[in-house]
Amino acid sequence: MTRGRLARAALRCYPPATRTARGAEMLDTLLEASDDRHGLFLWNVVSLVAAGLGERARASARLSAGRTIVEAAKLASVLYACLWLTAGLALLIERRGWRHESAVSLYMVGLLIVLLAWSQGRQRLAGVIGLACTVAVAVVVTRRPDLLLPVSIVQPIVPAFGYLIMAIAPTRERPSAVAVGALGALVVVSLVVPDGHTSGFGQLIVLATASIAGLAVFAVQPRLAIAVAIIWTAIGIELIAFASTPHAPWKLLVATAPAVLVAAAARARVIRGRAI
Amino acid sequence: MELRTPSYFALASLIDGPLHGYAIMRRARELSDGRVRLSTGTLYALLERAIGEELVTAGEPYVHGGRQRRDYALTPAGRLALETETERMASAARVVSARLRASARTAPA
Repeated sequence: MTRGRLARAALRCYPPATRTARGAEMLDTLLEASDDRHGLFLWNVVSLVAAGLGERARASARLSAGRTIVEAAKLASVLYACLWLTAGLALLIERRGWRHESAVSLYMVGLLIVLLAWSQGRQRLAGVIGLACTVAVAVVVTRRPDLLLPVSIVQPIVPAFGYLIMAIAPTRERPSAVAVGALGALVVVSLVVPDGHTSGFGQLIVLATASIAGLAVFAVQPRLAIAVAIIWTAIGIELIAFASTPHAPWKLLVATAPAVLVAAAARARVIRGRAI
Repeated sequence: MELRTPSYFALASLIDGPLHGYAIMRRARELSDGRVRLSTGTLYALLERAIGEELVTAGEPYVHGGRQRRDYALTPAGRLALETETERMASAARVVSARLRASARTAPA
């Protein structure tokens, strides 16, 4: 890889707007400052990566707490769509055909439209179809109670909140191709791994992977971590509300979303308060 | 507003007039006797924030010697921030120097 290519790859850590405005200038400054010294060049590239991620972190910290929660709720709904999609596909694989499960198949088509619309930045469409799917899920779950992990009224209500926000307050923000590709790949992988299509296991893979990814990018963008935490909290509430003998760890699950929100608020305060 | 050492010397490098990115890096190194070596990432991060705080303005981009450049200039607010920071450091240095001298006089030989 040439120096120019490596430097351009490092520049991708910056938000697109910064790359457009200053990318060429930063690249030329980096090459000029590095002279012919390899060590100096690498030091400059590493600094570019750190500064780019730092700028993304500052951009996310500038958002108000309310806006951050609203965007996380939308993302939680998208993750829920992936979870339900995984469950439905697993069921179709298990039954070897969609003809026997027409209600589930129709529901899968609805979720696919939600995800496609969201990936294209069409949040209003995604929200409206998502709300329709939420209403339909009551029918589907009545027929197939084994579709999700602990299924009760809690699980459909949580994504409905995010779909409603998408429908009434959509943004034109388009998710990155990497994020869309990763989610799609995750759904497929969760189905092809051994025992992935048996009840609940595929969803656990999706949720666990999203949780790890959320923690990994938390310092730069806490939205995914909050979205995943909302789901864990909803599962915790459900387990406590509907289990005959709730265990102590389940109660801890309920605290996930509040804990992540507090951590995100502290992170934003630290970033905003940094000296120039 | 407190300035970190790299930002202090980067802003100080603009006292005599506008400079482009690489020239700021060189000038900051000269002014600090080689103690501050700004990397490209650090330079543009601090310039971005300084522009946001209206301490610095960015000129229009231009090409010189085949390289894309842009000149950065200190604003009156930036000059004031530099003066305030310089005074704060000088004041802190005076206090500590006085304490060190007093301590040296009373210390047993």
